[in-house]
Amino acid sequence: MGMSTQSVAAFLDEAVNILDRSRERDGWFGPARNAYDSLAEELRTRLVALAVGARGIA
Amino acid sequence: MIFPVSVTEGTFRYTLDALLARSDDLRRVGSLVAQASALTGLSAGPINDPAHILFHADLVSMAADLATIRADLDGVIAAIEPAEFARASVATGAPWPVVRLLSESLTQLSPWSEEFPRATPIRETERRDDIAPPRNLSDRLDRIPDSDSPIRIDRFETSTGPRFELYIAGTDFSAGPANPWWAGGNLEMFASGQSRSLAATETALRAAGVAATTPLVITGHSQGGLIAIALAASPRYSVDGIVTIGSPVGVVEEIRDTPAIHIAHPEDPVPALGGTVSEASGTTWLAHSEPRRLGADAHVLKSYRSTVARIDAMGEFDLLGESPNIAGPGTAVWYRTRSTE
Repeated sequence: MGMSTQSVAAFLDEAVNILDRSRERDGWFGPARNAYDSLAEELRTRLVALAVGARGIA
Repeated sequence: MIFPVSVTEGTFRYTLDALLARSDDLRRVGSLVAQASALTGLSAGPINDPAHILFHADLVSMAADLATIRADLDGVIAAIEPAEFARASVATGAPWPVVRLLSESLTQLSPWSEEFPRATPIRETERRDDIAPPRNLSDRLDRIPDSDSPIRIDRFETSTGPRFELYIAGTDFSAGPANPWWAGGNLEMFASGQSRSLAATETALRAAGVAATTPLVITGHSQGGLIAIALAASPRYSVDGIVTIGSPVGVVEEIRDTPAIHIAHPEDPVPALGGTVSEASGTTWLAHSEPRRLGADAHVLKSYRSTVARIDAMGEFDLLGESPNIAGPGTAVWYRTRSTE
């Protein structure tokens, strides 16, 4: 594979960190906030799977 | 997915900064996924490696979903900013004091300016039994009558006496000044806090048997929402809650201690004319009309049906509460004013 798996995984790991911090931000509460946090959790799960996949592709 | 957003203090709270920060979070996540996708592009790897191809496709799909979600959130942010601007000025650009001055001038020219308040004659046009209590905001919206008989009053019996649900139609823009629900009715309310449509509604409430201590919940569209607020502010009624849809709620007396939900499309010019969305008591929900159309199309009641359904789906409302002591189905009565005949 021509890509650097470490670089791809690093990008995805950083994306996961950003989403974690996003869900922890203050300043907004209510059902729409809950909806955003649920979406962020789903996105995070997908990004984690992709980061694992990046490391698994040899 | 569109996020309906509450813009007033109360049960829910937001800050524009919090939303902007999250939009930026999604932008940065999208950028990282795009960079990962570029590294895994076909030009970067063996073109006959299925695992590589599928992995790249997953990244592309992820990037697209992120872009969609961020676009929806940015749409909500764009909806809030006009409301923030509306705190200081009317959407048309005229300072609010000018609009009020114009309203007062027009009201003085009105042939009815000497006659507030008046008991506007009304008559019953239809009556139905076996009416179930409303379950949610969508039920309430569906019960708002049309302009032919703009007042609907539902009566339910409880163990402690009757309770009522009042539904009030919005402005009939095709009507002339003989109809209390004409466009000038809004100006009447702006200038004096009274209108013939308000007087007609109060006449109907008396006819239905609503007393000062009778529990009452009111749902109104457009001008009907202004009437709802005026009734909630009046000491003559015991209003348990109100729902306004597409109403310029900022122009009438603020109400306190009455649970209220105000629903508005940012594309609807009528609520924007209220100017100060956040100064009205209660919780205001801004949500884009779908499909998004600026102007009158975003004001008509049917355009709010899907919006209200989306807010209902969030399932966070106990604003108006259940009425567990309602004993069986109720009766609905429709009224129209005699001056429209």
